[in-house]
Amino acid sequence: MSLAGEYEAAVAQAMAVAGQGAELLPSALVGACAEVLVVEGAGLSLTQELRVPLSASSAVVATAERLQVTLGEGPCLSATDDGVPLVADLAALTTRWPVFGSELVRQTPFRSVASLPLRRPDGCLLGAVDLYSHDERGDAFADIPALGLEVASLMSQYLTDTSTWLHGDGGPGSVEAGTALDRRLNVWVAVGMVIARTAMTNVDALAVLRAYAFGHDLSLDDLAERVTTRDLEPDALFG
Amino acid sequence: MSFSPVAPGDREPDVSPGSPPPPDGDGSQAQQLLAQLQQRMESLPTIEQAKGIVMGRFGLDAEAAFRLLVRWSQRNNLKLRTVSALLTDAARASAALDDLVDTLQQSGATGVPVVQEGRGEQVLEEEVGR
Repeated sequence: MSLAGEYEAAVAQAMAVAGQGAELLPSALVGACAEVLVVEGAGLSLTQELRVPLSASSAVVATAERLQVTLGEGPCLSATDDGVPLVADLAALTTRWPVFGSELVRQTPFRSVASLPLRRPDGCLLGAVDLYSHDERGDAFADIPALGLEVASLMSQYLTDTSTWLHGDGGPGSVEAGTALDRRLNVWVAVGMVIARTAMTNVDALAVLRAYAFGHDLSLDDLAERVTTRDLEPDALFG
Repeated sequence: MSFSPVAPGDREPDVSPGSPPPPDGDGSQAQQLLAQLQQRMESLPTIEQAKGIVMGRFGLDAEAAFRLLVRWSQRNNLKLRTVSALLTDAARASAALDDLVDTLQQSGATGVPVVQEGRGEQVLEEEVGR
């Protein structure tokens, strides 16, 4: 069976197990991705100024995604910025994104990463599928530039052709349910609270939040929750 | 996934959960919905920031801040994302924010109290209780 055929079969099987709920499509897509491409983890996000997480095949994939958003750097962000697929083994991770590389090693079992941008039929960037492997040399990703593109293209097609997943919350099988999306959007609320206090630009306010989060071993999403629930006053960010 | 309610002036074309999926092979409606979702995802950060500005300034919680934004949007006949963009722009200079908040409060209705620092809850109660 061709790779595309295998992937379609894996998605169909995941959807059948999930009970046909179209809202479970993002989690079916990432699950099938991890299975067919033989990687240890996969995640799917929409491209925005702060990327919007749709689904992750495991909790540790969600951690790796939050780490990049918290630091504002990482291979998955670079792949989206450049609009081209990217594969990074451990050496590349620690050289090109040294802070992310060392944190990834500290917080997750992943040692190599690949990211494939997804595009709408009109060519606009839609999102990205991130792939994670335990292998330092990234051998699992050897064929990704060619094979992965086929899967990425199928994922784009599924997302574009089936609208009903837009209404779902990721479902019980998904680590990144609607709450992950809401938690990411909540970062912007925290940015607004900092702006109200400091008259900073939103870019600077986001940088302040990122610096505090990293300095206190928090994810940006967790810090935003503390600020917006007033567990932490914006003034404390400048202490 | 869930979204905050949208002000009437801001309503996007309906994407209600009851809508039937498009037939296989015809992705045009789905593509349109996807483009709308992306557009919505682009304006949400501005609306969320404006919510944070109102929360930070008046000591409101997120829900109350959003209600006040919606109220301003309706009273001033501006889209929610427009009011939000005005607030995020004005917030870069606190004097400009003062002026804008006064304007938003005063126009479109008579007898609406002007928001003052620390009076957010009270103003909101008067506003939404009408």
